[in-house]
Amino acid sequence: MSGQEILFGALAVLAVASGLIAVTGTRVVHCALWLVVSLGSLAGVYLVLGAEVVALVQLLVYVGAVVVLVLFALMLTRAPISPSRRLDAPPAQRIAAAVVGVAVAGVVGGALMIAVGDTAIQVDAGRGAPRPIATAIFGGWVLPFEILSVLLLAALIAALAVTRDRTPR
Amino acid sequence: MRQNAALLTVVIPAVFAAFGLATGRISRPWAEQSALVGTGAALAAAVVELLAVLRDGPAGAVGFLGRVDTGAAVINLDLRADQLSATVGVAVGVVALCVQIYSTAYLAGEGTPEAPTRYPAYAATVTMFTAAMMLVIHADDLVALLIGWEAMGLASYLLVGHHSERPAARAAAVKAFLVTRVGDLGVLMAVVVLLIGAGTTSISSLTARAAADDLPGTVLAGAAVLLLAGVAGKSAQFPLHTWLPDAMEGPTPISALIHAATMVAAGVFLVARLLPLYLVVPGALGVAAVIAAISMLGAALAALAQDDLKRLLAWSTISQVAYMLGGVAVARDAGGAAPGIFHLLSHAAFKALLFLVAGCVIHVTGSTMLTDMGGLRRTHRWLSWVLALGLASLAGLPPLSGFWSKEAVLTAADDAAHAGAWTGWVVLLSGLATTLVTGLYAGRAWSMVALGSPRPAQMQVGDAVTEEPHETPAPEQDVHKLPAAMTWPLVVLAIPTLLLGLVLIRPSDLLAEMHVDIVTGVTGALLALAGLGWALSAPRLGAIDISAALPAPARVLLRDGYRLDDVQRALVVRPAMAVARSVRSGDRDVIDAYVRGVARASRWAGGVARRAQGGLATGYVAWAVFGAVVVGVAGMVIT
Amino acid sequence: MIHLVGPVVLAAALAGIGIYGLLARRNAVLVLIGAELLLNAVNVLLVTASALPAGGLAALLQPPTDTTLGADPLLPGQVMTIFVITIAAAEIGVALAIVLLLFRARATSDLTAVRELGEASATYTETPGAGEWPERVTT
Repeated sequence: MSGQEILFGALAVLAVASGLIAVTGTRVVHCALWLVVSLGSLAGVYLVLGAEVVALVQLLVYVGAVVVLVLFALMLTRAPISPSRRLDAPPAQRIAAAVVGVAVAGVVGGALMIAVGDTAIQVDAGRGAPRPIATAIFGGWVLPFEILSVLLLAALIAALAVTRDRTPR
Repeated sequence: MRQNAALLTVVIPAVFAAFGLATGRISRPWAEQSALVGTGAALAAAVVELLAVLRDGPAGAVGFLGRVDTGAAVINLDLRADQLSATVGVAVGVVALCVQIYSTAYLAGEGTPEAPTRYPAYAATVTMFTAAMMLVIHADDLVALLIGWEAMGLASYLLVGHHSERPAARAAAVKAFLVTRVGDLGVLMAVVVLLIGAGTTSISSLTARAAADDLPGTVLAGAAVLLLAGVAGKSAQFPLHTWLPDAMEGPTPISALIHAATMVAAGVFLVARLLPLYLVVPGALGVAAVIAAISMLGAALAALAQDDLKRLLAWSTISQVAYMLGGVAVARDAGGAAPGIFHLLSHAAFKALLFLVAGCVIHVTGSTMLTDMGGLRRTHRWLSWVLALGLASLAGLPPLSGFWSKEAVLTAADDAAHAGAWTGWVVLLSGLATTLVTGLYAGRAWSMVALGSPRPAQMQVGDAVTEEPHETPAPEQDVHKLPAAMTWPLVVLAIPTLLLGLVLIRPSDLLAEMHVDIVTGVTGALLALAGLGWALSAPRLGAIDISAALPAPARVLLRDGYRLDDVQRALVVRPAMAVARSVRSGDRDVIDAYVRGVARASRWAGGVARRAQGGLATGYVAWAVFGAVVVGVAGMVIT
Repeated sequence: MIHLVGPVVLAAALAGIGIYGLLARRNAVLVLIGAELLLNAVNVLLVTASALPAGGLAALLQPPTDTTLGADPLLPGQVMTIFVITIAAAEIGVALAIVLLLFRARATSDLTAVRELGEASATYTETPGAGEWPERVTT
């Protein structure tokens, strides 16, 4: 067990645990904050795996923007502040969801574990440095990059259009 | 000549029936003319055939509907022209023409919207019936005869139920059809037996081979007995007689034509035609004699207690047809059918006359019940004398035709009895008893209709011009006049009723083997007179109706025809309806239940399936993910 | 040296948790949290794939005979992870806009209370109204 593995393991456990609390918690805002913890530890995982830029982008966008949006939405929809049992679906649905979740995890994990076996990798941190990433994005991936910009623009306009106030003046 | 004439007697009315049916709706005169011309031409053809046959002898093998090769045998649907067919053909033609003329007045006008007369259909059906009867008479092949036989049954059904707006008429038509159908099944099976057993259904070849003892006994016996079932059905003999009294729901001219003169005689005609077969089968004629004896006496007694004039005449017909059948049943050789045939001819004349007179009386009084009639002697004297003529011939008073024909039958029975046949005794004794009872009910009919005081209905002013009053009870009252079309046929039919006995002076070959024994004749005449006198003496005893002398329960039993209708209903109708009901409930509750069950199962399945559409978005996602997992696992397992 | 089992199990666990969160929650926003976790599971796998040597998993399982193959300079794993993050951001923007609209229309963000499109729901009608806008709840 190398140091990298131990670090990876700790961050992974943190991510999974906080994810669990995020989806089973009873206070909405706490759920959103536990999501922050989960996303942050995933950023750490990316770092361990040698992807610096990805980790930073994760923190910037996911933690900085997405979770903020989630918190805004919770406020605007008057989410209950106090602990509420009504956040969860009826028990039957929860049991079904648990079954499906376990099944998905089992299938994905099982298939991949069979494929991967006992192999190990050497992490090369240089590969995730800004310069190679930037060269890749603005070199081979420039077209998807531009399309994604358009996509973001479209999403922005769509969000505006959907929530526009339509009563005639 | 004979062949063409025989062919024309069948073809002409058939063509005119079709023509009348097609065009009668256009105008009533067209319907009338096509019926009258068709029937008249058929009569003319029958007369020509009779003259030709008398001069040249019989002729067979007149091709009519060609030949049919069934594989097992060849059926030649041919006609035959001989004395029997020609004579009966002339009788049928005369009665049919009289009935057609009479009907133009009986069914005059359009009727009311609730009870239309529907004359064009009626006239065409009567013409069609005439064609069918001519076919039965002239057929030389049992299959051709069967075609005419069934067509007659159809025409009888249509005509009995002519006033189809009345439920009683509809029920009577169905009953007539079904009861005769039971008999017709016997005829059909007999045809099949003969086809398979003897290889032919040609009447001339069958009679020739039977006379030469060339046919297997079992085949003959089976065919003979089965044919007797058809005879009993069509000729309204016990036990298939129950349809005839109810068939009086039809118009009175129909009763005159079908149920007095022609169709009911067709059964006897069939036995006469196939007499050589019957002579060879031991016991067949015995069965016929027993049926005839029972029907003769039983029907005469029932006629005594009827309250309805037409039903009285219907029971009388059953009794007289039994005479005919009895006359044929005592035959001892091939020519021995003569008494039965002679009685057929004379009965055709006087019974048709009686029915048409009854129609006039009903027309005048507006009711068919004897209690609503009376005093005809004073309001319509001529009509009452014609009625007397018919009733006297029915009773068998000399020198009328009924006397000669009935005594011929009784003489033949007497001869057979003295020759040692038990059938002769049976027919003779029941015949003599029936003569007495016939006199009784004939006298009763006359005293109830003609004697006494007239009912007010007879005195109403008619819609026709009144002729010079013959015997008005009071000068200020006008009597209901009968149209000429209803009176002239009575004259035409009265002539043979009076004079048919003259045939015995120089009989043709057909009627040669017939004579009247003087002892039997005197006995019969005395019995008839006794009956008539007894009935006519009733007024002296206080009532006008002699049947009031019967004890009331007996009278009711006789009037209801010995409750045989109820027996029939219990034995046949109720089981059949029960079977029908069980079949219907089987179809509805068992088979339909499956069909309904399919529908219900589909709805239930739909209800279950629709629960998957919960409306919850995450629910749909769950199903999608679950499906993806299943596909993934399946993919992994398969590979 | 990191055994690949670790990231794989992490991704599988996150996927399972994300699915559970997606399906078992009533509040619309919490459902989206589950969706985010799911997306992150995918990201973990992508990043892991980018850390593989040239030749990919096959080269790890069986040493390659041809050693002149170099790593992909386009770094597809990491670049696509960035793209997924971007798309996730766009997606959650639009999704939350819809949730806000739902809240405006029904004053609730409870998904189990808005079942009109399903046939088995209590408020399902065969003939809905002629497509008017729902009333606006003034806040």
